Amino acid sequence: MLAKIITFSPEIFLVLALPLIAFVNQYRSSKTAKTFYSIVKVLLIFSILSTIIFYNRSPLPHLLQNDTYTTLYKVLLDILSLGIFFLSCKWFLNKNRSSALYYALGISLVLSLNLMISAVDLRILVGGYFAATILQYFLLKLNDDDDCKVGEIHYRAFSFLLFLIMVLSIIWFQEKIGSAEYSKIAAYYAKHKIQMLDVMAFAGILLPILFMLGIAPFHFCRVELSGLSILPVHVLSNLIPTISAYAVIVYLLTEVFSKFKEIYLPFIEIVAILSLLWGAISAIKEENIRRFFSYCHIYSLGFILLGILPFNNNGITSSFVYFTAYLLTIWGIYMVLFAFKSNGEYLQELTDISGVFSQKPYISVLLMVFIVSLAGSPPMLIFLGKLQVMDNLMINGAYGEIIISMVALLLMINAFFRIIRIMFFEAKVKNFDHTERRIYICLFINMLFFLVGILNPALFIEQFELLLKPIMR
Amino acid sequence: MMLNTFSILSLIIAIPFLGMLFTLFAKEASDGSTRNVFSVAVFSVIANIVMILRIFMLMEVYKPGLQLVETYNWMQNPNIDIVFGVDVLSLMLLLAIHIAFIIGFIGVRNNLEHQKSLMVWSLLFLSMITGFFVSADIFSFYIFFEGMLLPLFMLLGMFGDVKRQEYINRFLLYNMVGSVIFFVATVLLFNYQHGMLELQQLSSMKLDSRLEYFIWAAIFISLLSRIPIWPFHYWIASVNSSIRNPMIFLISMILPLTGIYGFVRFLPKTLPAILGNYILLLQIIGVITMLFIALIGLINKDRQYKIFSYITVYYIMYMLGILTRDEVILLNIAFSFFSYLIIVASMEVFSHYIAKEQMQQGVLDDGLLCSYPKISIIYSFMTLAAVGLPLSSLFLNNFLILSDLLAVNIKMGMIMLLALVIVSSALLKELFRLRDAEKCSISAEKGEDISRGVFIFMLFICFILLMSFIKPLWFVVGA
Repeated sequence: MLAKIITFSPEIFLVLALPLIAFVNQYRSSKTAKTFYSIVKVLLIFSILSTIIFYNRSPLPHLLQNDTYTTLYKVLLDILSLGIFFLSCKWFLNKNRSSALYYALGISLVLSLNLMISAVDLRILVGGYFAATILQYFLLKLNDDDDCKVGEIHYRAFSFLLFLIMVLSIIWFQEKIGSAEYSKIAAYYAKHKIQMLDVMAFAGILLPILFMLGIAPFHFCRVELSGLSILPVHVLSNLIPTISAYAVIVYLLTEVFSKFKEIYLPFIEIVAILSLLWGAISAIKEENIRRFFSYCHIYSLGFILLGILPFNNNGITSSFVYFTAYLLTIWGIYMVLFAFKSNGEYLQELTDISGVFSQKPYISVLLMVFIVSLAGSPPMLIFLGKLQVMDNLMINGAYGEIIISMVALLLMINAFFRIIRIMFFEAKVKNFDHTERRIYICLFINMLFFLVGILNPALFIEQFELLLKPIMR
Repeated sequence: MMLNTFSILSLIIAIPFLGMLFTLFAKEASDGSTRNVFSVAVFSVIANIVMILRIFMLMEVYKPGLQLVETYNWMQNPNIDIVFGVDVLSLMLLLAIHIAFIIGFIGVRNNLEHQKSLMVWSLLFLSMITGFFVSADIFSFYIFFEGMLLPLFMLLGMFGDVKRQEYINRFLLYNMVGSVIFFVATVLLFNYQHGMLELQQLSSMKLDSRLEYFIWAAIFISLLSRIPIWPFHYWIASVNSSIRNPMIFLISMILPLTGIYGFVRFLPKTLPAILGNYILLLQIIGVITMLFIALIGLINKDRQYKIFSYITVYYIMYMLGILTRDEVILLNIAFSFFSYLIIVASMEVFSHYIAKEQMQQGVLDDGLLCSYPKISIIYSFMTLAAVGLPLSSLFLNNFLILSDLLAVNIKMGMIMLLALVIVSSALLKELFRLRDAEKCSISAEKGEDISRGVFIFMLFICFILLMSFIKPLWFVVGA
């Protein structure tokens, strides 16, 4: 019993944050964003450490299981969350707003997404998905802006609809197989023929996860809300659920529903191509910075999904390399967005950053490095991912996909260079506020990883291959 | 994993890069002087020149093939080795580029606007182009091929005129399309070979006909996108007619060299049959472009355009020379390029100086050189060397290149010769106009000539050019 409780410690630490935040919020007179951040930081660090220590222990093996694969994603998710909470703290201090609810919802979101990653039962998955959706909804409500209301309604409607579809699908599997456990579903379809209703139930599981991943054509709510939500929420809801959804989708498609391959491969391919083109074309004309990077997110996920096809070892590794490089790069970009503010207001429009180079040359150059990396230019980090994905596509003889991805890449390069032009070549329109030291610290750490990744990519890639072994054939 | 203990070739890529970092963090004086930034940048280039000269000492200059090869395992899955190596051609080009950079830096030494940015991006470009010339495998070749675009893009954007939006778009369109196509070809070749591919192996690779057709088309398009040949000349022409900064003009003029050099590295010694049609088409387009640009240069009143037309005509001549795959021509091109780059850099820097003085004095530039005796000496020397007088290695080596091209195809050779005569007369006409004492409208006392230090340095450059005429590798002991 005690062993089980100890094995549960990563989740326990995260849960512990909630009463602590509530207690401090209720009884402590001098509480700032820093107070809540400190609570979240300590518990999140303990959670990360215990996740690593108990990387192969499973408290409830029939519901939740841990291995190197889940640990990799969970640690990635937790570290990134920690970074976002770190930067958000300053945002709340600047705005002089209460952050208790943000941190409580944020840490709960991390918990629910961690549960989704570890889930080996569809009921836990749907539970995690439901919790994550509700928490994201409440996070979005932290914005007082009335413009946000329409987006919230859309988000609520679609999330609820997809949740219902997911529940119905699970009921179908439960009724047909007698269990919602991953292993039993996989074993059942290894022996039995797939029927039409099975496909529909499978789609019912897949669609909500794709919605959470935020790729085309399931991206509408995310893009709509990303331009309207407050910056900490935008960053949190754009990055964190993606990690979990990606981990889940790869696991489900390779381990649980591998027999559905003939059905899902063309579907994933269409979704990937759609995301690539949609993301790239929409980004060209976009004027809102956050929405721009949301489109960039859609484009990148399209590339990642294209690279993972046909879900073989090569595909899994190459898309993971791209995914990690993308996360590191986009995280760097969001850090810079936290640095761009004028008269205490965080900037939203591309025109607001006109001529920023003249006042903030180092940060502008760093943003340029991240943008050039996103464009897949050598020898930047995403180039490694691009190279691996292209290599995988070549191996599979997917020449049509290569042409489409290169066309999308050219469109995206055009969009990226538009930002560089605005930052470097146009006249300054706003005076930018002083940049906090914490942003420089984060950027420095990020650049360090960036440099190591560029100079010695083998160091990361070899480790990734080892950690991804549980889903490798 | 590093397989070599001492990596001199990596060092010559690293030095300008480190120089760039030092320049980035160099403090500018409170009075706005950019002396620190300038000194750090020049020191980095000089340090690299010393290293290049050391490499000349370490290698056997007339031995064929790449020497001082360095190999690094960059990635294991897919297995990618980064290989560096040099031969006399790449080293001569590198040395000339570095000297041209020093001349370019001298040309912008008094520039106060964005001086730091200018030096930083220029050094990054230098680092990338150095990497490009020492690349011996297809991946590093591609990495540096694309890597040098960003610094040039930044320079064009930061120092361009009102029309910059227009030519930046063209620059991006042509070069990015070229790079993307080249990337696909690189991955395709890598996949076909099932592993690492050194540039030397490329010539002996046996490809199936469809793949061969695509690979060569991709390589040709991507390399030609850098060369000012129709229909790819559009972006370079618009850049050069608008840029009034000698350093950026110089860098954008060095970029086509990467396309030309790409042909040297990629084309096999015996051209595959599939390339026959490509080459013929390229020769026809090449000579027409040469003649056309030469005529425009003759008519156009803008001195910068005349220099641009001279550069273009020579680039195309070198490209057509390389397509013959004759080892002797290649060596002559290497020696000729050495002088050509230095001459072009000097002419551009002094042409810009003259234009600036003309603006300050508010006079026409006819006979202007009469009031600037030091500039007059250097500019006249460079123009005479440029048109092919026995003042540099251009004289003998161009003669040999042309005679070989005439032997290959007499019609093509004759048109080329005509184009060369036209651009030479355009330059000479311009020199006579600038030296026309009767039209000189300002007195010698009013004109501010170049400083004694710069004059002595330029005399030293003239000495280098003269020595290259006597013996191209005069600075290498025992060559």
